[in-house]
Amino acid sequence: MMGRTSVAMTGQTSAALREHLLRPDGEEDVCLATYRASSGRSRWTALLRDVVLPLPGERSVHGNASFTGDYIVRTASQAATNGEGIALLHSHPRARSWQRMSGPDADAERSYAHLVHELTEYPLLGMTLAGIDGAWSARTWTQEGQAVWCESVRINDRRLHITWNNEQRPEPMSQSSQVRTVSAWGAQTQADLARLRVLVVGAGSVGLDVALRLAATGIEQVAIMDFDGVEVVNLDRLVGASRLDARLHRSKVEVARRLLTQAATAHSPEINAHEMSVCEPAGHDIALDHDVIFSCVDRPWPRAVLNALAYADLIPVLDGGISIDAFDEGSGMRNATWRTHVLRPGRPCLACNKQLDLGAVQTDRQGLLDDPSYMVRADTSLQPRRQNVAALSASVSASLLAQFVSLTVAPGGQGEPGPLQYTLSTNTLEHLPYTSRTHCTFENAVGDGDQRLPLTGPHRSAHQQIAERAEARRTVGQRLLRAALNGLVRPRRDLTLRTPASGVRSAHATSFQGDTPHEDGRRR
Amino acid sequence: MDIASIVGVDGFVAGLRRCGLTPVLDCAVVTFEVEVLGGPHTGRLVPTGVGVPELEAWPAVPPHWVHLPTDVPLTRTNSDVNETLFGWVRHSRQIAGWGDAEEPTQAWVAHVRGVLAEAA
Repeated sequence: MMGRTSVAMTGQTSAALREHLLRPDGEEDVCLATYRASSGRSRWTALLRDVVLPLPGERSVHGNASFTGDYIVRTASQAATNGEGIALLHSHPRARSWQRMSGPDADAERSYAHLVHELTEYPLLGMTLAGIDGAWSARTWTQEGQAVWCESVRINDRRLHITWNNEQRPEPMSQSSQVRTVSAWGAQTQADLARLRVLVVGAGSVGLDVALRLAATGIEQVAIMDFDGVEVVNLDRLVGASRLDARLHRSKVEVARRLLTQAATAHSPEINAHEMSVCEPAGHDIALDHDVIFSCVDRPWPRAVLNALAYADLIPVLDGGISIDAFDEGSGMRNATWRTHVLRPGRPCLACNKQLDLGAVQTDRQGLLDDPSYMVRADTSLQPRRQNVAALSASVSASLLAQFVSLTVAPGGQGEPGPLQYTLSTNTLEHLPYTSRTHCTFENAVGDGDQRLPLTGPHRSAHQQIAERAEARRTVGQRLLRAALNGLVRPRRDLTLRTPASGVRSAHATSFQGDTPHEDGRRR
Repeated sequence: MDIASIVGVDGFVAGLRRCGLTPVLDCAVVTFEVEVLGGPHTGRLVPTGVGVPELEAWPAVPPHWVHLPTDVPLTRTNSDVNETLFGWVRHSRQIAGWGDAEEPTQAWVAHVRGVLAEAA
């Protein structure tokens, strides 16, 4: 098992458990549930699946609650058949926040730890519900009877409720630079938000903007994932990236890390840059380590991977995009629309809300969209739409961030609003009425965890781009330019370089025409 | 059990059987015969196939290539002889998805019949 452990459940599961465990007579109660594992790179999560209520005679309530071994064996057998583990849950009706265990509670759980592991091959999960504030606490048990405390318990609902284990993940110190932020929602909300691990997939115009604002809000651990590099053609949207970044063949995540580090207000920010594709198992495993994910990518395959993860692994995914409708002859703009939505159980998936063409996923997965010989003969509908405008992409990031605040802070107790669409020509904001298809494969896979659909695989074009960038950075000109930037070489206007890639060229072509280059791309 | 809960190649093969067809796993291609319902080949029973690698995430992600013998030519198409059977060609034909079809395999067979109606 991983170093960090957590538990996640849907709002529906949470409601079913509360109804059983929080009794009208105020007594403690107990029940069992099954779970599936979701294994990330550094976090293992138990995803609660079926609540298995006791049959008559399997448990008794007498101030405390007790249960029979038959109840455990019945549930463990059901779990083992489905490749699942089991959770033993009980309530502390008059308690609040994360609960530690009393001696008798620990003894009861410990006594079944070995048996449950033998029957299911998964550790027994113990959970406690505090009745006053609905906080959950959780631990797994080794076969030897040692409790391993979880870091958090997440309820994936219109609002993302998280109970944090303060010993494993302490409340961060609020900073003087966050006074205005804290005044908006209070110190406790800020402490809970700041502990979220948030991943932004896609470091383009929207993803970079989103990530910067999360870091500025005080979130301690913001990660960004992209395999793409900065090019001159990106600079009209990639605010903060410079011509120098493009000239040095820097990756988007390298630039993002620099900008996020500057923007972060947390006491000890941890900005992680992942130069990889979420479509590959390694990238997917990293995604599973996070509490919230932003999908800021436009290709069908990564969006399908994140769409599946939102339901199978119970991690809310905030997705959005913009469509600009330009006149064919290039004489103006007809309209622009942007849409944002939270993907989670209870909300339509990307395919159900008409935001993902599943047929295009296979095309993208096979690399056909990157194959010029294929594309030249392909249907025009497969041709990517290139229109994008920095002035409008900010509206997409704003809408995504509003969805994020609604999901995590729930102003007015409302939670996330469902799919939204803004139409620029009429300046109207709509709630879109999409509902889930009955036979949706993604939404029928809630809590599947490691038994999820196999959507990941080798992403050849991602590897190719990373390799080409690495090759481009190895030229003599690039090395000299980097050395000059590091103060190791003083660039001269008349210096002549001979590079394997481009033959003879003057040094000033790669060093700002002899000016002393400055790291931020400006001239001194 | 919900049909969609049976996934991958097994799910596709089971779906074809539910549709009354007889799938055969031939190397890395699942082949089966369908009756053509339109175009020059109307009434003919034509063998067709789907590559196994495209069925990993069935039915969530539809296959892309329609595999056909060379004597069933399609014009106006991206086609090649990669990852298919000897004497066969695979043709690029994208299907958007299944909508809310309870039986995705039936939707795939209908898609193939639509493709075959274009055959010369």
